Amino acid sequence: MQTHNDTRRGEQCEPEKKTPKYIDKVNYYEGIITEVHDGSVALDIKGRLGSIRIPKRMIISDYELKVGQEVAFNMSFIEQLSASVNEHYIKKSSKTRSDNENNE
Amino acid sequence: MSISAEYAQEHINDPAVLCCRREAGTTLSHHDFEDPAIFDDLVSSGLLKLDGALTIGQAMGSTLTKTLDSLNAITKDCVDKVQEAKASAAATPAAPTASASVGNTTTVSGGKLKIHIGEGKGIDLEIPMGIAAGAGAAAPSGAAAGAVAGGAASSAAGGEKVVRTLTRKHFNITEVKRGDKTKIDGTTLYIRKGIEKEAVDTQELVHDLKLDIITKDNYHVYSETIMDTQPIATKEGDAELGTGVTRVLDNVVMMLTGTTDEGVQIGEFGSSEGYLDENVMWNRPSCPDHGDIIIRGTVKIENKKNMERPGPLAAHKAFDVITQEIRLALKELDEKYCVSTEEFKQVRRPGKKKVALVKEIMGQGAMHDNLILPVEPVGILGAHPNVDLCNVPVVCSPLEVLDGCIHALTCIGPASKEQSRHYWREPMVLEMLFDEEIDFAGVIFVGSPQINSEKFYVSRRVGMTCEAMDCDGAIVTTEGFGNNHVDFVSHIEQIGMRGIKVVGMSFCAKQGALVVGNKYVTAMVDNNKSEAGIENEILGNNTLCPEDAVRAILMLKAEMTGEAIKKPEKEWNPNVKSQNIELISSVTGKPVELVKNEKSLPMSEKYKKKYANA
Repeated sequence: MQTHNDTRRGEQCEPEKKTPKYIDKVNYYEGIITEVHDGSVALDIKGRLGSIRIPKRMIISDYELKVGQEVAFNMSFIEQLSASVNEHYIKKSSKTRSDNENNE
Repeated sequence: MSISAEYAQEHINDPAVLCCRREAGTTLSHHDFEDPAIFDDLVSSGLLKLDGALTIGQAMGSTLTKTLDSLNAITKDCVDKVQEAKASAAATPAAPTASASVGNTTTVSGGKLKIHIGEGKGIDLEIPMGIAAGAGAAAPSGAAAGAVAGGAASSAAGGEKVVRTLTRKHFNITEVKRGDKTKIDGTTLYIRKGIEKEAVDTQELVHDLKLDIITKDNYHVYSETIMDTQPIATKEGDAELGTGVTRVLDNVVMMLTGTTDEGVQIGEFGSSEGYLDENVMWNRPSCPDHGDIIIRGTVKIENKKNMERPGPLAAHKAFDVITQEIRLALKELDEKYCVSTEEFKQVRRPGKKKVALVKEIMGQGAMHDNLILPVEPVGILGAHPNVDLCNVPVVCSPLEVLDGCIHALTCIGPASKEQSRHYWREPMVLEMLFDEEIDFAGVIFVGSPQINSEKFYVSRRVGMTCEAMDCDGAIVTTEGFGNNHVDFVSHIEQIGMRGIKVVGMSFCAKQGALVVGNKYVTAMVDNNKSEAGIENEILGNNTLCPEDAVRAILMLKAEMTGEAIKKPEKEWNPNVKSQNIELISSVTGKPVELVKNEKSLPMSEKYKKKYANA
């Protein structure tokens, strides 16, 4: 039985957000390609600074993409936008969704 | 840094600013001017003031009467004389996110060439013989009688030729049920119980397929990411796509959704899973219309195959088994249930400005792929993926496009992706098809490969195709943003460098600003509809709509008649679009209706309360 859910979407439903302060301060980062798929590429940021998975069209490449190739990009730090949780995204997650359904 | 003589000519109407200190008595030449492309940044940071600045054209050749430092604008009181303004060289530098305004208008209708000039001086009018000849042409309705489908031409008054016609017969569906046999009984469509298993069995990678029928009352239902929305249509008899008769079911669409066995969305990254009524921008060309019955297939494919080419393709193939069975039932349906008939004519108008539409489709792999020219509208059989065709340009007739020649596997970015239904009712194709002032030569599909060298390879072919077609103008469209903008801009360059006028269309706004540019990227139409100018994960929100098509075609006509397009503003400003829309409405006398955006979708009770208290 489908019950009415109170999630809603888009910017209009988001919790109040603060304006990020530091996003214009970009730094140079390098990374190593760790996975290449038909639709996506994964990379580790050098210096054990994390990893990123992006669709292929978000990477500009002169040559065929291969694991082990180095890449570079400018990035700022990631800032939290709000203290509250955006329920919309919580409920989008499959696991959380099935938990919800079991509780309904 | 000084600029070259040629560059100075291109920027003859831009402000004249000294690049270095110059002594009184210096006669100004291109060596003395700073590059106008950097002025926006300098002005916004307060380093440069352009109040009262002369243009490069007005300052060139004059003599400085006082000594000035670098980055000083040249005003009337610091030169001996102001040169007379010379005719403008129209080119402006590459646009970051551009939309642009059209000033004057030229229309050819009813046997008259009308030129409206709002204001101006030193205007040169050149009227090509083509336009003059075309102006006398009769309305295309006279050309219909002897039309022969499939390529034979019939001539008519004014040299117009109906190349081919396509008839769409509409059949209404009011209810979709499950039954023992797939059939259409009057306005009720029955889908055979157990067809899901047969569909799954055709594809090794597909492990499960669930079919739901979602009606308007039940749109608030959870859905996995939407991979495609497709019309249900079939050809009558042996007719090829783009000719003859096509039967289509109204008020019902096929919608493919899915995940892997472990629940990872197919088409990860900004996927549109969630409640349908909150995630779909209804009535976009690519989306279901509000009220449509949705036949939704939810597939589960093998783990880890969601980002590999065979995964999404297998999902589409399995789902098409069901659509194909409905197509066969539609072929059998009694003619008496046909509720309306539409006829599309592809008319060539020799003598008018010849225009091509270049549609860049994704070709990076996985779901960044499209099946071109299936046997049935938006089918699978007979079609070739553009990735396998190495993404080279494929020329289609406008009627092939409207008859479903593209089965889109649809890529990332739900808001800007063009699903299969988009091509079925492509606003740009429709706008150009019905425009009697142009000679619509055809639609060129070109894939967007991953690697830069391949991007330039295909864009050179696009340029050569347009050259061989002898086009006067072209409109280039793309979907979404990312590295596809590299070839998108290259297509514009390859077309522009051949002297063909070109207008680009893309989602840009705030998030999708162009990362590259060249001197031919002067006329751009932004497909953005979202309030914040971003990819907002609402299916179809930022796709090409009639309001974009009308701006693009008028911008192209303005360019082809030699008008300059105003430079875009430095930052994305949605007012540019509204001003252009107002201008178009006032000049054509026809209001341009704007589509709704995400603000029209339901807002939850919780947030309503929150907003009410705020």
